[in-house]
Amino acid sequence: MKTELAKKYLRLEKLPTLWCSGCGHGLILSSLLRALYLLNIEKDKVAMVSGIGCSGRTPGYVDVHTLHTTHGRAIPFATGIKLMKPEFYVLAVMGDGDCAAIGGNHFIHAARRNIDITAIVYNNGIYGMTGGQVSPTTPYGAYASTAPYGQLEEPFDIVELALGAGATFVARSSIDEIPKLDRLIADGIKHKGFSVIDVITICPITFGRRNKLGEDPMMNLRWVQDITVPMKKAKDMSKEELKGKWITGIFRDEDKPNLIDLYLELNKKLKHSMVDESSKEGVEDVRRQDET
Amino acid sequence: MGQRKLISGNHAIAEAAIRAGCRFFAGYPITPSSEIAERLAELLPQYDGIFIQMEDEIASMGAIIGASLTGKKALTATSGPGFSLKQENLGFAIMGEIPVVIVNVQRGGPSTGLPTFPGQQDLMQVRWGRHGDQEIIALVPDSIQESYEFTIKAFNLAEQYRTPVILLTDEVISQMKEQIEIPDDVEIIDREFPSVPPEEYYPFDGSKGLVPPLAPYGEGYRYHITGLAHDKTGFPSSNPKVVREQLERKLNKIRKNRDEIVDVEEFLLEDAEYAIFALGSMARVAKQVTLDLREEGIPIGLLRPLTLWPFCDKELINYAKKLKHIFVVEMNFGQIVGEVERYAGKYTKVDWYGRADGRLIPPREIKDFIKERIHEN
Amino acid sequence: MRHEIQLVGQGGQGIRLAGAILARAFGIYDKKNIVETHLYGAAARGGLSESELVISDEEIYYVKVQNPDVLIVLSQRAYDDFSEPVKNSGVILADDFYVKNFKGDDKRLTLYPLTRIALDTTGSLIAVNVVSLGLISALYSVINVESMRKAIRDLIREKHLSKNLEAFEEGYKLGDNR
Ligand code: SF4
Repeated sequence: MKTELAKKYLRLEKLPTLWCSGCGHGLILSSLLRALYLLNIEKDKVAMVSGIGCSGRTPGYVDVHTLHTTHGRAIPFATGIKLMKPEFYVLAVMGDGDCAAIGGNHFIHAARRNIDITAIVYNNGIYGMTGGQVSPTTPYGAYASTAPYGQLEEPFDIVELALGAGATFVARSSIDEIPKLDRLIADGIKHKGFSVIDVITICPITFGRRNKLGEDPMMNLRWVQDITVPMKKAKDMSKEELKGKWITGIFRDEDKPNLIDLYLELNKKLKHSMVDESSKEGVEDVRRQDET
Repeated sequence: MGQRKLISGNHAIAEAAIRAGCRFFAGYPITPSSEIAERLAELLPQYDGIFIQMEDEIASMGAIIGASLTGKKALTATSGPGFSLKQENLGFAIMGEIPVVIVNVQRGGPSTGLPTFPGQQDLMQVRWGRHGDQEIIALVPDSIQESYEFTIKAFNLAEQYRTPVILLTDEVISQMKEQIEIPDDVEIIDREFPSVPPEEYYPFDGSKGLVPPLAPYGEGYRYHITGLAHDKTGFPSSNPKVVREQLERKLNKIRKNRDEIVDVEEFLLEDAEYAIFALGSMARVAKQVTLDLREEGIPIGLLRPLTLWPFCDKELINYAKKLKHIFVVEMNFGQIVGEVERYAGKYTKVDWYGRADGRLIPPREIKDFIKERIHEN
Repeated sequence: MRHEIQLVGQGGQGIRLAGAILARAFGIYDKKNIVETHLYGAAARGGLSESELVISDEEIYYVKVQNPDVLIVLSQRAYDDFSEPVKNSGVILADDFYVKNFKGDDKRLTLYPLTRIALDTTGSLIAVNVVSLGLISALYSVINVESMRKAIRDLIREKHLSKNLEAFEEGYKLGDNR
């Protein structure tokens, strides 16, 4: 399956990836490919859109319609594509900075309008590509190039953010539970509505090194194991015990009318009912007497 | 003769967009452009199109680029402050060579400025508001009729040159109503479809012409677009030769076709010794001034750029060689006069009159100014 | 010939609609060149509502009214702020209910019971706009009264139409009798 899958969905000539050895991003990419493969999705029906940062390079390796946009803006571009190509599977691949800092507004509004896009967040709590500055998900107290004395702010919980904003499929996983991640991404893609999969991953180079984990991927992975707790286990833990931990699992999976279906329904209705009245011979638009 | 209609500039733009084949609008409310969005919110769903009000100006710019990649024509509309926000993704559309149309209904600035009054203060923001080198096409109507026709032209140019095109109007033109004739026939240009099969297709391949075809999504052509410097395949490259060649091609597709793109109106210039240089709603005022001064025996004409960018340098120089004096009139504190001086300054005297206080400059003031200057010389 | 007509009042007097009716009568039925502009976003400006028309057989280059031939004022503030530029040969038609204070003896000014007629014929204040239109249709020969009637039919909703037409005719009589 491995080579078949690689051949089917990868732009092999673009490999190796530009990611550092030991980076978690490659694992998420392979999960993503397996999800597409599991669902047996036609490549011509997939658009993958990204923002800026290490995660932003993901689409370049995948043989679908790929768009590497500006920082934080993957979702707006994806929205335009999805609205005009309702039959497409549209994936927005973002880093934590993309999703929760510069693109935070787009993220919550996509959730609110429940547009059928799958958002996959490569959440490593750091700006890797630019050299290790703090991100909105950097843990409290962690070190970064712009937090040399430790981060003083509390991190965003991307899952809570998505839930609060109305996303209809919300899950968190990590690179430590790969087969599960494949399925979660597949579930997210299948889901009709805005899906968010927050993936806790690692940046050994700019995060690990500064936070006593070193560049060793295994040390960094162990840190991921430390800070993630499966939902089941979390149920029996106290608030104190859960401080600084990311709970993994599916937080929401619900059916709700999504924007595309509502729009298509409206278009159908209007098509049957009318040609625009005010474009009739020369009747200009003014408010009628009883409304003035 | 076409149908006679009385509509506002903003509504003319909305209706012309539909006529041009626009099927997607994403926008964010901003005075004095919102009526374009409101009208399209009504019209688009009736034409199987999509209207969406996004969360901000940045998002609406991103959304129209995404929509355009699916092969459909897409529009957004805004005013100065919103245009500032759109610059980032507008730069992306220029880099990615993605056809879109952006309407900027100018109001007084800077900042929030004068939301309900006109200005011509975005002339340079439109040209140079983004980082990096680039060419941009901007059309400037001075009537509702032209608002209609230039909207269609903007889409045509965008499709033909695979580039964003800006329609630059102002509060006066957008809000006023006047009669227009809806033309029976209009030329509609659609982007070129690749002539090669997907295996041989490169979205930025300039070997067969300055404007490589852009394949719509979903037709078997799977390619990559990035805002990074890239090679003909669309994948990032920092090879200096490749970077330079790609950027030069992007500039040249506009520069080398400037004769096709640039258009001016020559009003009573044939025997003129003097000329006013003005555009948009101020050009309209300047026409009145021209007529009034002619009545007083002053041989004056008006040169009006219909395309602000690329600039009408050749046409201007042509006249500058024959004219004694050019008077630039604009609703700002000196923007386009810099360009006029740059090209015409060598050949003739250039003088400037303008201000930005949210009001059209009345003809009398301009007349007095011109007469005084002619008298002084 | 260039003609300039300006209507000023406050929100709720149908000023913008009156402007639209005039514009339609001239622009569509009489096939004249017209430009209609107005104060934009009136709600935010203390309720001042304004519409202005430039009408011509030739191209209209300056789109704003400079020295109106006809100014209709339906509020005191409208009179105070807008009457000065009216031509010496022009006319100011003021509503006698809302406009009470005048500058000296303004030869251009005439008062009419526009609001009162609106109330008497339709029972509603808002019809003051069509009463005014009727009045200027009678007073100002540039206006084609048939085109005005057609424009009113186009732009006023069916259920208010007959009352409004009646109000228009009352306004017309008011001007015709003089
Ligand atoms: S900098 Fe960090 S996130 Fe970026 S590729 Fe390297 S390890 Fe991965």
